[in-house]
Amino acid sequence: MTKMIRWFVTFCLAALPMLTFCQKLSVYGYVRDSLTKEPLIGANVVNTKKGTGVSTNSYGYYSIPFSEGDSVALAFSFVGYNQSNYSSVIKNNIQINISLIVGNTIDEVQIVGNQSVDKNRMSLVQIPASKIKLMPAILGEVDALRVFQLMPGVGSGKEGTSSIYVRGGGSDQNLFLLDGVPLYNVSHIGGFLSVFDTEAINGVKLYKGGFPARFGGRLSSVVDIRMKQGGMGKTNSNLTIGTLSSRFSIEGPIKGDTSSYFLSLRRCNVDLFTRAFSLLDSDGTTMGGYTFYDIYGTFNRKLSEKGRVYFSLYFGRDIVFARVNQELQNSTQGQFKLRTNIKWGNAMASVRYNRIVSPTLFSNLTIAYSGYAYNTTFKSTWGDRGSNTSELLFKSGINDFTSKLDFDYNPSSKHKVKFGAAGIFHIFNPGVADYSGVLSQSSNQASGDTQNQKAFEANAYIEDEISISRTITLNAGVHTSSYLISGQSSFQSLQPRLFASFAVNQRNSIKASYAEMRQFVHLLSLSGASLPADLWIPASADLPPEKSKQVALGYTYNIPSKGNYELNIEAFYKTMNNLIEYKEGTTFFGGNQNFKEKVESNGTGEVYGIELLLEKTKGKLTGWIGYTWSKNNRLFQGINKGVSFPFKYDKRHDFSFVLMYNFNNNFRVSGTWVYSTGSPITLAQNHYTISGLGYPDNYQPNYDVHFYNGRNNFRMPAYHRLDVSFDFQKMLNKGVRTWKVGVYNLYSRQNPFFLFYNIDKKDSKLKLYQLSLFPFLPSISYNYCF
Amino acid sequence: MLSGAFFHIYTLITMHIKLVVLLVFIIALESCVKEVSFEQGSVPQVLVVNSLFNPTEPLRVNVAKIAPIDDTLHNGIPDANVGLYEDGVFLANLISCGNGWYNSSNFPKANKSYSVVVSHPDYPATFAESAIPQKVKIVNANSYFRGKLSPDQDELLEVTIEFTDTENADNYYEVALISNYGTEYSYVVEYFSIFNMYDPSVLKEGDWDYRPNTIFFSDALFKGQLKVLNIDITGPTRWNQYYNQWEPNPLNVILRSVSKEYFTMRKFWTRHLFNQTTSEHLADPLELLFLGEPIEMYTNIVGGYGVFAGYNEDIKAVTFNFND
Repeated sequence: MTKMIRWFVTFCLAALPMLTFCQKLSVYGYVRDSLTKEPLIGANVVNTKKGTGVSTNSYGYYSIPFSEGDSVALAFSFVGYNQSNYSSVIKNNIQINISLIVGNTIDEVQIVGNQSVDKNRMSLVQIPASKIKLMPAILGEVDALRVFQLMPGVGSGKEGTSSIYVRGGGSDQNLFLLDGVPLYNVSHIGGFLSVFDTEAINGVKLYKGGFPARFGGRLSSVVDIRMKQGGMGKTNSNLTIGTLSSRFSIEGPIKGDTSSYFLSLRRCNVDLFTRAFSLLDSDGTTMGGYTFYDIYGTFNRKLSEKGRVYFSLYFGRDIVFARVNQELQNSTQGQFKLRTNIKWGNAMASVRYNRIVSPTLFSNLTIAYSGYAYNTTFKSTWGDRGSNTSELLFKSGINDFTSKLDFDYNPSSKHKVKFGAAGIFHIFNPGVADYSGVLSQSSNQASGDTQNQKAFEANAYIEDEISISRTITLNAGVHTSSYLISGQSSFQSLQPRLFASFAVNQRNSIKASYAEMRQFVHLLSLSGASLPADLWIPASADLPPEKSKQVALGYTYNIPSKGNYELNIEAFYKTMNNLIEYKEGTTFFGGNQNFKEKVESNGTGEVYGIELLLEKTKGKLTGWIGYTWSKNNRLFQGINKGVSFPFKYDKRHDFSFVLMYNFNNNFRVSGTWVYSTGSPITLAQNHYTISGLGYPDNYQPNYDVHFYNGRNNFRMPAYHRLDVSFDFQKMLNKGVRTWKVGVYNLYSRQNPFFLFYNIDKKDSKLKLYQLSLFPFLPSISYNYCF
Repeated sequence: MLSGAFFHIYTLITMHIKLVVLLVFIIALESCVKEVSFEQGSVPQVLVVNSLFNPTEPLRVNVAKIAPIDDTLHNGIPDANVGLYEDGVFLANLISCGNGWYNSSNFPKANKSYSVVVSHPDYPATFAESAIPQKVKIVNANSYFRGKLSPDQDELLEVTIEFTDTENADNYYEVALISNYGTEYSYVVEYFSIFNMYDPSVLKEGDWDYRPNTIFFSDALFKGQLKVLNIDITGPTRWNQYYNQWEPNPLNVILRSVSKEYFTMRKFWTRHLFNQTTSEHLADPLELLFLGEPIEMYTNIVGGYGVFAGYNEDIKAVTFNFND
């Protein structure tokens, strides 16, 4: 800890020269949507006379320094909005709050900018709020994470999951930040949908590499999600009813333009079907099902011209339930009743206070709680008048308490500095070995210690975006972290970050980045399907923090054409250390063994690849083609005889083709086609028999031993799928209604989910089969915005 | 008590996750299975040597070769040379009896070390060694209906087995339950499935999660002491007219004292079998999703594959105790 403080002080001292630039005056303010007054995150503010500019921060704030008497000509722009200009001669600091008007939706539909939105970054995918809904829907739902799966460098794992695997990393190596606060399990229904309700999102950014120093804690990506703050204009509501889920949201001002709110509720409709199905299937004795819900709420209030406070709340739960009422066959047993629930999900609450300390210094203080909980209750009664009872409880989870202070400082037109520090108190309840319960039938009582593990994490960062010349930009920074787990050792780290951009000319630019990252939690997961039993484990002396180093090189070419084509090519090389994995042959099953005995630690990973993205960002027809070539290997001393092997989601070729066509304001079609090399799987291609076990012949006379040629030695057949979605929109008297009709897997491709051997009954020969999920799946949803 | 609670929680979690997984599969509406072609890899040219031997029968060795996965025939090698040694002293060359089996007239003895050298002109020579531990007698074997029920409301039969560990070495054991119900004396493990496992020695091994149908453990927790093993099982019952009560079908217990090679083989086999990519897993979506990575089978054959391991065993009928 002392080390960390020393480092931070060193950085601040190093930064002092920048802070003492004799700066003069500034134009500063907020950029917002003209109707909703929502802040526009990442909007460009360009000084057209000098060709330099800035992007608005997460609160829509910008600041551009000038000298006294300078003539100012600013252009404010954002994807999907008409540009706005401002010009003046600067004599004092001046606050200019700009409201941008939404552009013509037919001609100026600019969709996803990889680098176009933020020229001074690379490996960044950004989706602004206004464009999220235009993304192709899957099963009637647009899901931000599923859109990311269509971008190069982002893998999708198993079919039907919304997990993302960024540049060869694991699903746990993504830092999901909701209004700057980390969430742990972000998937619903085994991963089919994410918890991020598109109605509640103001914007999403995915960093695949070249991480700014302000981010830390995960190895492979940062997903920065900002919730809507609530429009200051008029009250708006939105109702959606779909096959998979339904939602309602409302937002509006509370008092003039000083405070506003946003509230969104979403629930899954699957239980409506499963309740009926289970009752019919069991002659009315059993009812079970699954549902989830998400609640988003925000409130913000302007305290002064320079200060604003934000409250954010998220609460979501997935619920599996079963109710059984059964007459027992044996008359002495009476009736058997079972009530059981399993609930899991995240909770997040945060308070943020923004203050414009000076025109060049913007501060944000965050106090937040984030928790992930997994709770099970199981209660059964049977016998005369319920004389026998069995009741079991099981709990596990993680609780984080965070406080952090961030600053944006723009001391000159050549320096944009961000710095800050945070402290996070973690309480882990690994849970697998924790229980409490009463078994009254056999007069047993058992209760377990919760064995919480507490850890404290402190971090600090500083980064400076330096405009060395009109063509060269550098972003240099460092992120330090210190992690202390109760009763065990502590870990310190110094993580340098570097990004450089060279604009060859107006259309060509070259970029490069280097980033080191640390991760203080491990995820033990067999399924890869984001199931609740996936186990989060704190780093410890036995399982030290994961580390990564990534270097990337990129090239961007703005192709001269009406459609505004842009080509991005990036190559990356990443190494990872201290990875964990289940030992060979180990399964999730079993509370009979300590998880540490199941884990192989100190693994390494090596990933490299090339990504290509060709976008068409304007016109009636928009979309992109994404392609990734990559190799992704892991090495553990105790796995595969210590020989390197392909990661389970190693896909040599990954291709996505996304098209959206706006016929007019009322009708839009979108389609996606994806293709990827089959995932590797460990499959026996030879076998032998162990005979003569000493038991009589009718008890396992022979052991049929499978002989493997190494871990993940076999490739499943290739994966490909076509999805289409049709949007029918109509203006009604009091609002806009949209029917969204879609088909998942239009040509019903049987993609492999699992390969297995079986004896064909026809010819008694052993053959290889594949199990496929999700054939042709139609969907429909109705949305009314009023 | 602790382990019992663990087991209930394990069952509970398993059940709940099963619900989730089933729902995902319901959403899938229908799943589809189809045959896929695959390119057969090269077949390693090495010998597979197997023998599990005990003092009650002459030592036999099976010699075979590795075969392509779709070759379901037993690939015995009939023309190998198999030399048998006792405590390093040559005993005999074994005689080929067809289908890769080689017999000797030697009854192996407890506390002796045996080795085989197998050679064949087309394969690298192999060598293996193991010993037979001392026989350990079952002191008592009783069973009771104590009113325990499984969550499915099946009545559980509590079986208690007692034996005394020998103090002089690291010992390994395997326990199997046998039904002699029927015309032949036969193992019918399917009839008696072990439901609850509380025993710390068994749970310590970490193999119980993989659903073995016998129980195996070391004496690390009861060296030289009397061991009382309690097991809850379910199985078929029959009506006893004399006592006017239900009783389980006749039940026997086998206690094997096994060599370390045998014990390791059982541990690996349990995990190896559980994670094989076969159609067995299709019946249970939960298994399908949580299947571990396949694991290579253990071998103690130098230069080849297979298992050469000795064991000793005692068998005793389990006494059923009627309620008063």
